[in-house]
Amino acid sequence: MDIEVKEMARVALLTVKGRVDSNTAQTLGEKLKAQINKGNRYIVADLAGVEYMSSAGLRELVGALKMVKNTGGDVRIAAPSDRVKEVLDLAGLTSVFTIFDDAVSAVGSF
Amino acid sequence: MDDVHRLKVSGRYENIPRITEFVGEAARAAGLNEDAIFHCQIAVDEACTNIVEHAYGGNGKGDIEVTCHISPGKCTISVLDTGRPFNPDSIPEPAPATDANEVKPGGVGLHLMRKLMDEVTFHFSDQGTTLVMVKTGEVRAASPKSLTIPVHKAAGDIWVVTPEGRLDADQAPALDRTLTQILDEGCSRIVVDMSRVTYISSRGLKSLIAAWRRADKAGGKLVLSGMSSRLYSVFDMAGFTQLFSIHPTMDAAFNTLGPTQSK
Repeated sequence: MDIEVKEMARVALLTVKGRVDSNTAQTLGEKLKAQINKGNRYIVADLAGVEYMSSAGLRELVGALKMVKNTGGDVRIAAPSDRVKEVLDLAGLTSVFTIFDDAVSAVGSF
Repeated sequence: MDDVHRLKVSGRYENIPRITEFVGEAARAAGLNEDAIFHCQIAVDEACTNIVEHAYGGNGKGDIEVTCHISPGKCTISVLDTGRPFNPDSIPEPAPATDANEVKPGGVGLHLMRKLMDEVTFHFSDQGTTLVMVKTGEVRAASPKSLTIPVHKAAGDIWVVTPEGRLDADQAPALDRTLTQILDEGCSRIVVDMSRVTYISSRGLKSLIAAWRRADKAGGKLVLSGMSSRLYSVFDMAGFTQLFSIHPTMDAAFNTLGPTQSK
């Protein structure tokens, strides 16, 4: 897994690539938390490059979402693959997140 | 007789990719399709994550032994650990949430396993906990999958694409590539000849819709011809008979695409 963080005027964009499982999810959680601790509450996780995500990855995304929701922020998901969408759906999380087709529209939504 | 594959590794998070790869190969050897292979991989990932986290209570505290019994169309995955037993019935089913604060931690892994696999059972003994998960599915055609789809250019700049066999998660990427290539070249009048297609999954439908959209945007049209009544009923159920222009014959399909009939 590889994560690139881009801090824009209002939004922090995390571009995640590779495999997000219980071995790598912690790093995702740390990167998300680092942004939140900096005061960034509008966050986009671009998952276009993620071909595999287990519930461990979902847990980190939900954890970050819970942290920013209380301060009026949001974690929005961009470009999940069919595989990732299926897991989100089966985990009952599709309506917890706002999901966008691509990173540009997700960033623009804030 | 069943073919048996076995893998024993230390119960560590960093071994999980190795386990999912092992299970993926077994599921593939059982002839399961890509979706079913992925389901087996996520299910065993969740199972092993729970073992490290809950049964052993930490990384590297004990071994995990994974055994796959494979037969055509069926993959039975057994996962043995010697950690703390638990009562599967005591794990609450996660409720679908609409708000992040409603999401309760835990139970998601087991829930995913039950959703993704046909059978999930736990057996507890003095030797440890054995989780048995079964996935069955239609066996993929034994013939090597054709990664190229025949295409030819008919009169009046109309492209004809002729996929064959099953348009599922295996074959749809090839169809995507073919259609994208045509559209990238600026050609947007396309007939997809469905007469040799025996089955279409939602993934296959998605390929056709994506190409239909692009063709439409480019001022052209993607039409379908020659599909069997069984295939038509899939389009009908999915509500796509309104969207697509569907024709019984190639000639009828050509006629909708325009007046150009010059040879």
